[in-house]
Amino acid sequence: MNPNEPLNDRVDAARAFVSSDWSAERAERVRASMLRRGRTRRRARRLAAAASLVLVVAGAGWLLSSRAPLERAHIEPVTTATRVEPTPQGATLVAGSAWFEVRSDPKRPWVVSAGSVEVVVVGTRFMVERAEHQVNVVVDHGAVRVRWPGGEALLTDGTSGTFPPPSSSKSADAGAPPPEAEPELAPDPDPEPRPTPTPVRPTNKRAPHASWQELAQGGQFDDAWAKLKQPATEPRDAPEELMLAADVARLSHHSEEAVAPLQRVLSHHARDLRAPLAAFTLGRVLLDELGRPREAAEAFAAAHRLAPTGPLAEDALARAVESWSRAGEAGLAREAASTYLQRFPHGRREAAVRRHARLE
Amino acid sequence: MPALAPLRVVSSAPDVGDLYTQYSSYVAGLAFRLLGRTHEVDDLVQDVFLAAVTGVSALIDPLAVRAWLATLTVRLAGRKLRRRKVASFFAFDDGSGHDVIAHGASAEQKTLLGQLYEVLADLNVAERVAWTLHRVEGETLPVVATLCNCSLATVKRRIAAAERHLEEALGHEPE
Repeated sequence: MNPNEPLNDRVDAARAFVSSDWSAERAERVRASMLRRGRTRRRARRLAAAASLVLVVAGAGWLLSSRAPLERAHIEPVTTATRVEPTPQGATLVAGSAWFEVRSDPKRPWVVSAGSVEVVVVGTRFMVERAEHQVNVVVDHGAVRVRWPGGEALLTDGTSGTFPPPSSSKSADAGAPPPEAEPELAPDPDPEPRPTPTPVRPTNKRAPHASWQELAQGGQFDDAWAKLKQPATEPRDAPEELMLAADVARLSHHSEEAVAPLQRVLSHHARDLRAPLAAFTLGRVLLDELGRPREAAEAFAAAHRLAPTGPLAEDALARAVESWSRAGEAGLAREAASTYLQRFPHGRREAAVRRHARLE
Repeated sequence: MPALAPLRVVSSAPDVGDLYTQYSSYVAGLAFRLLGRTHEVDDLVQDVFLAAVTGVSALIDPLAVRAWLATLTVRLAGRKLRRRKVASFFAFDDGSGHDVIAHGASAEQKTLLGQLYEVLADLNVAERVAWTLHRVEGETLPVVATLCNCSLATVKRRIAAAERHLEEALGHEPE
């Protein structure tokens, strides 16, 4: 070591040697001591609980009305950078993205705040992702109402949206100088495509001359489907419109018709940020609705390939394993399972993956 | 036509015993590098995993678990270092007693590490923690900001302040 080297360089060279001497014996000793402390702490807690029973009973009414919202929710951060903070009504997503599963309680809606956007939940599972200028919401099941300054929209099973929607941002900015770049077109330092849901505009009441898009955005999927099948009506070749058309087909019980627009997103817009979500949705339709596991496996594999570190990656890999297994392709199922276990050694779907790949 | 089957990805929360088996070594290493005293590591590891018991049910992503344990470790280590500062103010702790273990390091490197932790004891705790996470633990600035629960600018300011202090104390070795 040269004493004339800058301090930081000398520290860099030396730091690798700093170790804690943490042996297996020491770890076991600390574990045993920790368990003893845990038991003592639990006993102390029981004592404290008994002593405060009178207070608890006296304040029961108040407690019932202000029960911690986190008790009703199960939160799964998607990335290490995710920060979620509890609030009296639910939680604030400070950064990153997370899946939320919330138990139903119509009297006390659960609210996720993400910047200017609020996602109001009755009982559902959904993901909220904070992007630079907007917030993406993907609903797995149930329904949420999304509010932002100037509008609101209802998202139901399997639908998704980006908020505030680009159109509302534009109208809100009317008269102001145009931004240097549209948020969704801004250069992304991370070239990997991330699932970005279909933009959804504010829910409208059904109008007699409403377009299929307006009907769909208002949750009128059967009417939207009827309108969409009229002559000379077809979705534009744009990812958001193709995905909305697929949603209309699926949610009006015409799942077979959802395949083509989703495939078109993959074939013509594979670099679009919404492509992984389109691939994943296609996999679900093919596997769960149409009983075509081989094609579903390929769609799930595509969802994983397009965004290997995205929020849908783990589920996509796990569902690929399930699809290959259901297609009778034991070898491919094992191969996909091996990739899953390597990427997510203690993943949420580990047991299902092992079961489908017959690794148990 | 039945509705789409919901995606069921929720599983049971990880067991704290399993977490301990998997992460105790990582937490101990991080704790040691932050504290610089091997005899304080055991207590801190216990505190981290006992604190983990209460919050583990809300987190099940393995990547998030590691980051979350790191956050707990940093927070509790900071608390310990602040107590140490108070104790040293009342002369109950002279700020020394660092026993940096550096197997395989050269004599000069061992001396440097020993001196480093002695000088770190003089620093403000927030600056010490940020600098240690970045320079000794090797974490990137955004990760340090997340672990310290502050902005990137604050982290940079703290690290720069720590570096100035360390440079003054250790920058030029005597001829």
